[in-house]
Amino acid sequence: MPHWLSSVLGELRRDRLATAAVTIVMTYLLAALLAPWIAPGDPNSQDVVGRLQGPFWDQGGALAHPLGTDALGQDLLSRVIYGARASLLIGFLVVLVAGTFGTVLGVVAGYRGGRTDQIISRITDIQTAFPGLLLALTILAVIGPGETNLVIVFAINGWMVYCRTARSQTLSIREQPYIEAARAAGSRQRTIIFGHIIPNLASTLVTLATLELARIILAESVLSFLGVGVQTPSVSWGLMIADAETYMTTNPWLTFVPGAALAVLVLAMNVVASWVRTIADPVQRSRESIARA
Amino acid sequence: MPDPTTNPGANPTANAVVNPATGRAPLLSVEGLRTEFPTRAGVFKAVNGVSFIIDRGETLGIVGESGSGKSVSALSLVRLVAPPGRVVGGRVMFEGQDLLAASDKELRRVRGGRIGFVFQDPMTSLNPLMTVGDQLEETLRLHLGLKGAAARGRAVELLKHVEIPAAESRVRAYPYEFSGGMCQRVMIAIAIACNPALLVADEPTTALDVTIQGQILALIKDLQRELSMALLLITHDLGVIAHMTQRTAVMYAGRIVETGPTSALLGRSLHAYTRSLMLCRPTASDTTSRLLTIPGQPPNLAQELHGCPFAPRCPMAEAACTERDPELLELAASHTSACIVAQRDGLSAVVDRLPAGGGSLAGSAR
Repeated sequence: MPHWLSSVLGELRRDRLATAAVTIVMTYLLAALLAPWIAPGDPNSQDVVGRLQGPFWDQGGALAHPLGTDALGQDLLSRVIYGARASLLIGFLVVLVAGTFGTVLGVVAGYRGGRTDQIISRITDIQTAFPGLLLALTILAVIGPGETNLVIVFAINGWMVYCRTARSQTLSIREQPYIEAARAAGSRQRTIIFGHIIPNLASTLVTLATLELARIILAESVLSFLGVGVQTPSVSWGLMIADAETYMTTNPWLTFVPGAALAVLVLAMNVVASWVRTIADPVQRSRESIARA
Repeated sequence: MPDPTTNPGANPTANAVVNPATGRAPLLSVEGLRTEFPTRAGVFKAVNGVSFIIDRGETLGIVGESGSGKSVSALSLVRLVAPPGRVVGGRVMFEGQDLLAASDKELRRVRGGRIGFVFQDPMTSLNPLMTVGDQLEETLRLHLGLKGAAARGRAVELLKHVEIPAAESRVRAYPYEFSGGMCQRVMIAIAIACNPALLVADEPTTALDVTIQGQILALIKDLQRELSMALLLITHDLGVIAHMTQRTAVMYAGRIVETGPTSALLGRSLHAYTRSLMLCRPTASDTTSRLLTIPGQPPNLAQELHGCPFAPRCPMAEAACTERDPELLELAASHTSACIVAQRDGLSAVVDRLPAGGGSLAGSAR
């Protein structure tokens, strides 16, 4: 086991809340990855006779459909598991694309300054001035709904926050004496950006990315709920909530199950985000471990 | 020392500068260095025609108050001035290479390789996210191509060299686990990692308490002798200058106003500014009278200056001082001064008009 991994696991053991949150997020990830093997059935196989069944502990429920069925008789548990795929895949792709793009632009703007900074900052301002939801709806109306297009839309809408954060952090880190010391030691610009500036940005950016991931997952659900996001036969929690809307008063678990799946994941991610921020800073890290010892 | 105003950049040969004392080219020669910062209020001339030389193994002190251009001069040597500041003129010859004309790649080899830097604030001069060992190894990898166990071994060796106890385990420590003095030792270890020919120490002890100051200065002195490095020591502390250096240059308003052998410069100062600085030092014997200060402020370097920049604050200023720009002239053996009055009347003028313990300076003490 590499050194960094064992030290991260060591940190994790000391923080029970973080352990729980990381476990939850890992469970979602595994569920998404292994959906075809662990889901009880096909998420799209319909059964009109067995529609609107309650969960197994409820009246009319059966273990064949542990969390019951929806209005088309589709297995709710299978749909929730498959729904994690769409949400997490879209979320991670968007964070990866928007995060990388925004961070690189932001660090370059902050480090280079001058005209480069002016141009990048104005582009960021212009992009931020567009109302995100309106732009998303417009683009999706033109290029059509679907997972790939969702990723494109969210990336276009989401890179500015990384750019601005990275830029402002870079501006302050750039002035730190250790950057000057690194330059005086003969480090090249690439080493300074990737070896000194980005690591010092990392805790902020990872925290931001985790929060953004949660936000994107919610936004995906919103657009899917509005009908311009993930389309049947693909499965998404937002789509499930949209389908369940009609039955909210009579069959509330149809809304509750995907809603809870969403809420638990977003909550766990927020906890993970604050834990990551803590362990990314050596001073915080030692303070935490002393406090707990 | 060649004066840039008397030979305006005419000499095209690269190694023209010869130290008159040794007859050989010095390790470092700086001629007419000028560094500017464009600001809203105008172009700020932080370094305005600075010239000096350093021989191999020699120690030159640069002394001056905050904002006199000492640090910017040092950073300008290897073009480390942060934009929008830029070196706009002069020549810096180091080991036969013109550093102001060198490519970025060549400069990177000099920075940290042939010229080591130690800065003022050791606590923030180290990257808080990297262990001290990793930071040492970055320099070793960069300049010597050392990697892995070899780099780690050399890093431990260097930490031992700067007298950090338990270096084998401390190499894995983070900067926050070190005291200020220990961090400065690490900075020194990084600076000497590649056996540089010149160590530039920019107020290396300003942020440290007095006992640690002594230790760090002693360490620098030992290392200098051991590695036969030249040392450029920048400070505002005349005591440090007296203790550490053979030659000293006094800076004021972006110019060198006096240079000379340290003992002569401090003992028989040939410039009103240096003499005034000496009079402002606290003494252990006199605990009753108030400390003297030099009245007024240094001039605004964004404005065009005429005459001697110290004249507005100078108790012995005459009409001549504001009428023409002073030149740095040799008034005694290897002792140059840009004081117009001293140039005319000699040493006695400065001593007589600025007697120790009072005279016109006392007025500022209120």
